[in-house]
Amino acid sequence: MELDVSRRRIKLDKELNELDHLVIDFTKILNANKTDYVLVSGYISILFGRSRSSEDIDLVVKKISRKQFSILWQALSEKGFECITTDDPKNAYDRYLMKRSAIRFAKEGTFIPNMEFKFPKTELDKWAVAYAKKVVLNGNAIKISPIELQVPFKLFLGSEKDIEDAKYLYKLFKETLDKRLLAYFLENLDKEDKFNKYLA
Amino acid sequence: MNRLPKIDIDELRKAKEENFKERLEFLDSYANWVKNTSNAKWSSAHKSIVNRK
Repeated sequence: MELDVSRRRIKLDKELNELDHLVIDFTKILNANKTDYVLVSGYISILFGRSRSSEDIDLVVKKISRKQFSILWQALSEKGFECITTDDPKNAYDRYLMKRSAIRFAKEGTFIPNMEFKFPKTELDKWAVAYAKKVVLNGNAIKISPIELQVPFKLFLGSEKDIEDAKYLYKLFKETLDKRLLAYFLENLDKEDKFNKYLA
Repeated sequence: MNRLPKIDIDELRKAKEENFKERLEFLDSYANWVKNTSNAKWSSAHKSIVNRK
């Protein structure tokens, strides 16, 4: 794998798959609307080659006002995305996003794959948005949760699939990780034992 | 009614853990392969898996 990793960004050129295209198309609209976000969870390991697919891509979006959300909704509609949770933007904002629930957007006429869109629920979500790592994927800038958080957090989630994702990411990136940051999250998520058992 | 098998939960848990460890070992070797293979080659194979419905 030719992977150019620096403190500020990861550069990756590869043959894009269906999920990559969805992410690039969706995040371009977020960027154009100055909406801050971070991609989290399973897509990150798939982005870097984990051999599995997914029905959805998890996205945490920095909280925006209802007015900003309406503008974003309009932009997404114009670019061929529709919300498959509700067709009313006011409803989406008030009854889902503001009540800590996610909404999903898919390309018009499809249901999967889709982008699961939610506002930050936890301090870790907020941290991930604030310290997102930039990935330049075939020239397109996308933002992912730092690997130093993803690995411990996947261990925290704890299903076999999550532990496999954690192992895969750790194996790929271990030489480039900020070891102190990784250790901080492992300790505070109480996952040092699991890390030593399955990943070390 | 056919004779039903005896279910030993500990035995099942042990088998599940063994299968899981085997998958982790496979992932280890797969990650090694990806690390040592050109982006064009691994991402072409990967695309066909991700795009599979």
